Amino acid sequence: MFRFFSKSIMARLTFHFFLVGFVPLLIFGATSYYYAKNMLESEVNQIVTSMNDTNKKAVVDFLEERMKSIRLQSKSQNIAVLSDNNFYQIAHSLYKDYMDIFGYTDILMLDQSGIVMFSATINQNDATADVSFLDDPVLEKLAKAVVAKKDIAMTDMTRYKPFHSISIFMGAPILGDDGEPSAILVFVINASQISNLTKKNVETGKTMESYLVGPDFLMRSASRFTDKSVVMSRNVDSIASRLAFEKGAGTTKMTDYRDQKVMCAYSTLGLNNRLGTTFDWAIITKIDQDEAFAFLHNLRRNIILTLFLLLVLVFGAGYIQSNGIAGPLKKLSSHVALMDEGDFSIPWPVGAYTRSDELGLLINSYNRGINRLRKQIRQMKDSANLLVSSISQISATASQLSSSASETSSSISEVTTTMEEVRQTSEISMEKAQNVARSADRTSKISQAGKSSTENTMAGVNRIRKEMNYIAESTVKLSEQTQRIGEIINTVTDIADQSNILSVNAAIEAAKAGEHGKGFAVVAQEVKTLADQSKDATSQVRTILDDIQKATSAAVMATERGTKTVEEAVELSEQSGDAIDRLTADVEESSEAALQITVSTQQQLTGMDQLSQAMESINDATLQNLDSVRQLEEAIKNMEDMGHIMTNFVNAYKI
Amino acid sequence: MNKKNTSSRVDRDAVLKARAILLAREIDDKRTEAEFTDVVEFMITDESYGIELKFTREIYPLKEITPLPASPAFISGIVNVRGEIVSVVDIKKFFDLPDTETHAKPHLIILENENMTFGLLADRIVGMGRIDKTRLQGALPTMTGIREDYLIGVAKGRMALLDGGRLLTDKKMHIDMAS
Repeated sequence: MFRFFSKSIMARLTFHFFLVGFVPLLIFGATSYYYAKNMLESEVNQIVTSMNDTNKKAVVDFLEERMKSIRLQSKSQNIAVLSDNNFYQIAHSLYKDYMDIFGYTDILMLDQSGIVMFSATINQNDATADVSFLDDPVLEKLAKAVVAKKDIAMTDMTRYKPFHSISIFMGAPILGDDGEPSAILVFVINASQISNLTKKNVETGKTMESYLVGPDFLMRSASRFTDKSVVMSRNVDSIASRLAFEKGAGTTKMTDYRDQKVMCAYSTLGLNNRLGTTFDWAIITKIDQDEAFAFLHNLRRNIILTLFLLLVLVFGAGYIQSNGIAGPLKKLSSHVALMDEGDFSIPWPVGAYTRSDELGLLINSYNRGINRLRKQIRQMKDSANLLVSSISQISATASQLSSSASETSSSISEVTTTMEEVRQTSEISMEKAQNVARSADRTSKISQAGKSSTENTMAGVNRIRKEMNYIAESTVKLSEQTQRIGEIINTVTDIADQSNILSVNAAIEAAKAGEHGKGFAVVAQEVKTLADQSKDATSQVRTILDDIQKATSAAVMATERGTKTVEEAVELSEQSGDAIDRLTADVEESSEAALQITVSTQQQLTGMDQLSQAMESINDATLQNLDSVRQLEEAIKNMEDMGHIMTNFVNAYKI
Repeated sequence: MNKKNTSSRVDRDAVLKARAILLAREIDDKRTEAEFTDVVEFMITDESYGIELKFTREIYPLKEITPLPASPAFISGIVNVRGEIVSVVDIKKFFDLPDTETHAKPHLIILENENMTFGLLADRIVGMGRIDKTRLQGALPTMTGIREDYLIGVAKGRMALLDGGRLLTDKKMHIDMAS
């Protein structure tokens, strides 16, 4: 059990919820139930006791009243007369009323020895009727007690055979003149009257009852649930009865004659003290516990029900709360367990626990941590792979290095021989360079001559250009003149037009003049003809002029082209001048260069000697290199093994 | 069959002869009585027009037109001819001809009768001419619309002879500013 709790936070939390939530309630419920029970018990006891006291008072009062009544009777004058003269008739009428009022069974008159002398019922009509059958040892005993005490005596309930009933006999001495009891007056009280008393006051409640018990534990009165046959026949030797006679008064719980659990109050009547009897009765009042504690039962049921509901609630709340705490933890722990196995591949469900409390923070931090870890492992994996590939590349490079080192070694010997050849070649080139220097001198002189002839050409071309410009200016002037001629022609044309109109107007006027104008019409016609002729002439002139203009513009164009060509020629001759200048400079430079080549070839030759010495030391170094490369190869092999180990190690993680 | 053929040929000849008689026209001998008239020939855009001399007062070289507001489109404006105000009619607009720009110097042909004087714009004055009025042809099929109404006929050289009398008496030309 404890191991289970120690393994499951959820169970532990649920249990603690139960402990904290339910147990105090349980204790509280039990305590309140206990106090309620006690209170109720004491209250019930009070009720029962008070009922018991009421009934006790009723019974005692009843008996006391009867005793007072008999005392009064025994001392009255009437009795004295009766006992003296035996006037039964009178006596009868006297006691009849008494019996009716007080409900006595009979009123007897006894002599000192207890012999019945008179019975109010028997001697009602016949004074001489025999009453001897009424004699009974009970009466004798009573008579004796009365005579001995000279005072009122009372018997316990007795089955009185002559009347076939159970009765109480109360006797009082009728004192004679000498002060001695001459006769005894006896009231016969039926037991049912007592029963009525105890029955009367217990009608409240359902199960509350009261009854009287004698010292012989026989019932002295019928209770609520019994008829009068139980009187003096049913034995109620119960705890209550015994306690009553032992202790006097009190309350107790017990099982009664009906096998019911009851609460009862008991008390002795104290008859021997108050009425001077030789016996005493106990009165017992009881109520069923079922009735008395019905409220308590309800309370208990409600408490249990409430506790049960609370139990469910507490367990439910505990379960939900602990599930809310333990669920994410469980998930987290399973994740961590996977991580322990090196599995990082299962992603945390996004949005599964978006809570902002400490657990949420934990989960978020965990998530961030795991993501970072995952990223690092991935990087590690990548770098391990990179490392392995790099190592293999290095290994390949190293082997290449090794082979190239041996190649270098063989190449060096080749280079050494080549160098000797180079040396010879550079001697030849030195001779050649000296030749070049001589020829460059010659070329320099030739280029100087070229330069002066180009300058002459340039001067000629410039003269041509001036002439061309003059031609262009003349042509432009010509063109202007031609335009002026055109304007004059326009004027002439205009005049011709106007002449034409003039001729038309003249013709109109001539027409208007009719026959007289005919000659004028001919003149007008002549004017028109003249105008037409002049117009024709001008148009011919215009045609010629147009030709001249065209030719002029062609000339202008040609001149422009010529000018441009001349300019180009100037430019070209300048360019050739420049080119010859550059050529001269180049030739001088090459002459100098040839000289330098000669000098440097000599230096080269000495350098070659130094170079062959250097080659030898390089050869030595190459051999050393070869050894180092072999060592390097071994080291790389070790590194390769390490790289594989690292890759295996990283591959154990799943991401 | 043959018989019928010959008979039908005879019939056909008769029919053709009758038809020829019916369609034959008399020779018009009125040509001999030529009726000549003097015209002023002028050009508007590329078309040649003529107007009888009896309606013309003079040809006036146009210098400047004063535009006349609130006048019909064909009235280009007014011009001062030696102290006389003459309205200028653009016959192109009057005939709804396409308005082509000409660079020629325009002339004004001043038409006149006893009631009316106005000037017609002419792009170029060709000169005087004498035409036979009896040999005029009808209007060319291209000359339709309003132009047809003011045309007497077309003389040789495709010269459209304008009806000067009609132009002068035309109600369209009478513009009453008051109305």
